[in-house]
Amino acid sequence: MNAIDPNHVQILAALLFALGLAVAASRRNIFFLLMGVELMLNAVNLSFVGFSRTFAGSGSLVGHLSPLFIIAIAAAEACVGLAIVICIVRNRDSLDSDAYAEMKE
Amino acid sequence: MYPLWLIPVLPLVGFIVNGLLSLGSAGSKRGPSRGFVAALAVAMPLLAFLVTIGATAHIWNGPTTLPIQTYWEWLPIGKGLGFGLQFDRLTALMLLFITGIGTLIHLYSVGYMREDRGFARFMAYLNLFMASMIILVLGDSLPVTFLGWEGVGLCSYLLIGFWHQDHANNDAARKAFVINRIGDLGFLLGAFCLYLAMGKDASLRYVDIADFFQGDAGKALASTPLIVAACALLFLGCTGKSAQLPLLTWLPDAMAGPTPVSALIHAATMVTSGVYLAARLSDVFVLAPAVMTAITLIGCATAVYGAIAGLVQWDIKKVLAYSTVSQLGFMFMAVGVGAFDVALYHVFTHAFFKATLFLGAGSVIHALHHEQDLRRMGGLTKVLPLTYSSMVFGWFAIIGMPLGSGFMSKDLILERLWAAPDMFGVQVGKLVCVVALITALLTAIYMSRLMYYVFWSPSRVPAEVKAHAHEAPFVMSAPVLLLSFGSMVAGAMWFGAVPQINAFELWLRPVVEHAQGATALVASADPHAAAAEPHDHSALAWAIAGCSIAVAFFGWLIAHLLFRRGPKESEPRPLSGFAAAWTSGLDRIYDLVIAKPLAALAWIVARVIDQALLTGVLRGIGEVSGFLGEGYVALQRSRLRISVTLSLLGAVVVVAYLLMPVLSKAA
Amino acid sequence: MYLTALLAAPFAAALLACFGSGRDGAAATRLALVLALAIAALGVPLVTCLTAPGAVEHAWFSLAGTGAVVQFSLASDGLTAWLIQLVTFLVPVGLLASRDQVGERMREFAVAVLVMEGLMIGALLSRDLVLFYLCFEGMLIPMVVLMALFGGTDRRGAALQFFLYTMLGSVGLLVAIWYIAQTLQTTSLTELMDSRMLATLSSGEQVALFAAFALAFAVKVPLAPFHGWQARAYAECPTGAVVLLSGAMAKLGTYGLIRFVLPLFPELSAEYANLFIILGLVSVIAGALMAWAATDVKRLIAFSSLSHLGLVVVGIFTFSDLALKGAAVQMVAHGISVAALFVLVGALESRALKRGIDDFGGLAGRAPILATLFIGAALASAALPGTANFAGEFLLLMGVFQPRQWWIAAIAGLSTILTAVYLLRLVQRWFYGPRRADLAVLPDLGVREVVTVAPLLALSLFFGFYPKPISDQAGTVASRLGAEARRVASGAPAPVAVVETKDAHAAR
Repeated sequence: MNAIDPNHVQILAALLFALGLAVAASRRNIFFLLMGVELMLNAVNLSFVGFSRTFAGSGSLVGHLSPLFIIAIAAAEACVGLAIVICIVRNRDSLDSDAYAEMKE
Repeated sequence: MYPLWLIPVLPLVGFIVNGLLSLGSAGSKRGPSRGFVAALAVAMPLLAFLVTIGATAHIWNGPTTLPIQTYWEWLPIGKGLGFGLQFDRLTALMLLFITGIGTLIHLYSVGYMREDRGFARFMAYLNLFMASMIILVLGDSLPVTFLGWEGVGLCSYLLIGFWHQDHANNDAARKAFVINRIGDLGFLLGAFCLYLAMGKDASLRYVDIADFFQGDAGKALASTPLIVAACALLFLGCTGKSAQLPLLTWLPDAMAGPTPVSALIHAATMVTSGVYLAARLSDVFVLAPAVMTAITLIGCATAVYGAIAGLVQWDIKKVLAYSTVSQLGFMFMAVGVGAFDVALYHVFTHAFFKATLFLGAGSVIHALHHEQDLRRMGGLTKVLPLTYSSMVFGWFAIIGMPLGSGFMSKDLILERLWAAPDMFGVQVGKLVCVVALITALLTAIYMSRLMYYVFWSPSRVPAEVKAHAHEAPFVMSAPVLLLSFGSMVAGAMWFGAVPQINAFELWLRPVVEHAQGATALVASADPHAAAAEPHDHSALAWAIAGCSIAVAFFGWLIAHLLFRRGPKESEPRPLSGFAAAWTSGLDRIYDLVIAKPLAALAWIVARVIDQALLTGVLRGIGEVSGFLGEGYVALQRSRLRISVTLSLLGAVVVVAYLLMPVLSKAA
Repeated sequence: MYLTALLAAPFAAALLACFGSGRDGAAATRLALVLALAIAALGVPLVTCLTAPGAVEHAWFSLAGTGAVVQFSLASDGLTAWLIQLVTFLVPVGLLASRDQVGERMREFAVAVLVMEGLMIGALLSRDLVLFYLCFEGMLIPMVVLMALFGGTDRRGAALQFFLYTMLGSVGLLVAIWYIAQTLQTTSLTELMDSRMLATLSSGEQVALFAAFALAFAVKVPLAPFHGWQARAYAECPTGAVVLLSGAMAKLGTYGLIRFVLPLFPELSAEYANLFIILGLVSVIAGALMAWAATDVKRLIAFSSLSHLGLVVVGIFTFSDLALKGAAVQMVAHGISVAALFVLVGALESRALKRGIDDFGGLAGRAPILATLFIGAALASAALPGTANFAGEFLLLMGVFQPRQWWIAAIAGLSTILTAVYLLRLVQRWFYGPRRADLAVLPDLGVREVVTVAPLLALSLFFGFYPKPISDQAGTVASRLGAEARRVASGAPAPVAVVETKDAHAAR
């Protein structure tokens, strides 16, 4: 099996992260915000795994375990986030994040 | 210990009782019982007069002064300045005529102000004035005198503005108070200069001042800047109180007050305080010859100003007011050449004849139902016989008819002026004497004009007024008669041409001899004066007497020729042309030079600097913080996407900062 | 013991006043009045007893991060005693005077006033810098509460501005005290004065500390150009509060200058004396001119206060014996006269609900008692001889007068003329002239109001003729506190100075 160039993995992770950031920052739909956040988290996972493959050794264990933690926490965060979204959508009846700017009054 | 404190306290009690009565009855229609108020108000000065006589009896033969009585420590100056009263010959003289003439004028006021609703208030104020004036002359130190000094200023304010429904009266009252205050500042600063000049023996008590300045330490200070400043500033105080140039504009306006006020305050007593102060501090003034010269010149200028102004007035009281200004100028001319006793003699005689004239004018005004314009008077000799005879005596005295009291005192002034030593190489005395003679001529002219227009010219009184015109009640005409008698007899105190008749001079000698000796010393240094001999002096006196008699008659003659048929205009008009310019010119100058710039400055400070600038700065600071706050709120309260972006960017920045050492090491 | 009781009494009284009736204004007033008079009576022995009361001093808490131990230190001398008399006598006056304006909320008003009284007494008694600062700043809080709850139409803005401005001025003082605590390990005033430890600091440090102290007090007086808060605050304050604000609180500024600035920084005081004298003169003249131009009478009185206290500041920084005695007398005298003026203006305002200079006319005919008392108060304020203000101003002017700098006394003396100008103008506009038909019926002063004002005027007359107690007790203390600055300013050689460090002082 051909070794994948570690740099490529990181570049892919960075691209994914950038995509996620772009989505989270620019889309108005709240669900897209959450999706963007998920994408960012997964990009980070990829970055961890890539590093752990590159620097095999005692430190590489971190690179395997952290993504597991991150996946679990991302799932939890997505649950909570969706629950909150359901609650506030009931209030404003809109999925547009701009409608929630005045909530801070 | 003779109860000197009774003299000021008695009128003060009258003030408190009558004042409380007046306040308490403010709601009632008629006010408190007129009889009680009148009795109390007249009794108090009368009792004070009797106490004064008693005190004078103590110093008649033997000691020339009663021991000074200090009652408590007042101000912590030096070793402690006490509130003290002293009674020497000068005080005795001043007090006798203040309380005596004061009592008569109080009696007159009972008749004059009887119908006024504010009668009790008026008498209360008059009593307060008496108390203040008494403290002024009884005080043993400059601060105690100042207490009386401002007290009389206060009463002057209250009494000029007595009929306070009319703002013209209130404006006149305010003007008097403020101008007096300017003089008072001079008084205070002069007192401080004096205190500093005395060095380690410093004290503000008259006895200490006299001791110091009669001694060598004091004499060494002659003409030093501090002493010159002290005398100039103290004289500024005198100009304020005694209506000399430049602070004289309040006196003619003060005629807005009731006539007894004009008589008492603005003729007989308050305005003479300046001369009293100069006499009291005579030992100091003689040490500043430059200031003395200035005093003479200012007195002269004031006398001329007053005389010319008196010639063009149509209001009877204004004529008398300017006459007072002019006569005060005479007094200061005498002070300036070091003749303090002569100045005080003129104060004494002037009190009598001016009070006579003012009260007589008051009777005329009262009879004609408050008509004050000369153009509507005339032919009143038969209508007001008692008033007429009193005023004739007063007129006789003021224009310097032979043997009248005014003749006696004015002559002495002229004599001293002529014999005054040269100042700075110029024969100032002789020059001023000539001008004074011309002023005496003018005095004769305008006073005779007054008499002609009121009494000796055909009547211009409107018919309905003439029908009701009658002589003043006894309570008013009696004091006037007494005063007119006094104005004739007062001249017997001192006759310059006959050296034996000098009771007045002898009386005052212990008080002023030292200061007058000092000026005589300067005179004897002058080689020409050394040749003067007694019979030369007598010859001078008779020559001057002759001149002034001639002047008096000549003035009467001119008045007779010009005014015996009465004025050409019969309808009252306000002053115009030269008359208006001369009388209100000073006021206009002050308005232009002081009042308007001050108002402009006040506007600048209040509106521009304070409101616009400073408050603007405050508000600006508030606006800036508000602006920053709003900006920050906008940041926080933005749309969700922006918040997300910013927080992520922030996270990136923080991480980069934390990684910086690692990255740079790797690079 | 006595001093602690005196300090605690107003707070206890405030607590008791909480139990007053919240609905019955008259009952609450009576309770508050009784308590206030009791406190005043408690304070009288300070000036009548010949022996000074025992000083209170024990360690309180240690200031974190500095190593200094803050002392709970109280002491009373002549200056403190007389200013305490001023405070305790103005409180019942203020309470009575506000009865109309405050109405049913008297209980809250009284509690706030009593707490403020306690803090003012604390500031006057304290001899420790931190304790002083606590009280000095603390008294702002009840004052702001009073202003914001009971004041005029613009009260919120005025209260906020007053609070922020004064706080900003004192923030420097806080930093300075903390700095002193850190470097010199002490906050006790007596220790700092006796051992002259401040002289050991570098000149830059000393200047900064001096500026911080002086600024805090300059804002309090106020001294131009830090007077921006004054006119608005005085105008919007309810009568009782402004009586205390102008009558007592303003004097804490001048008190602070005499008690803290002059003894702690004598060399710097002498060096910068001319600056303060000029600022004082500017206050005198600008205050008088602005009073002349003012249309709101409460602002007029505020500006006149600026003018009169400017003269006091000039006197303080002349350091002469007479000027400091005059400053002490004038502080008490001015407190009395300005309180009287504000009470009377408040009485008129509560009747007619307006206080412009053109809003009234010819009142002397309708309300002669009010007219008499008002003219009396105005004349007292104008320093008519026979009033306490004259005694103060005479001593001040005399103390300030020096041959080489005669213009200081001349300009300061102009205030006597200008005061007469604007006060008499006010009197004429309001009380003299024809009766105005547009004015509704205005009843004259009732017994309660006369009882509030007449004692003030009577005191002014009494101390006008007999200022000896004040000048002997408070004046000599003030003079003694300024003695070192006086010596430095006159260039006399110093006596052998012993500058101790804290250890040496503690070892004694």
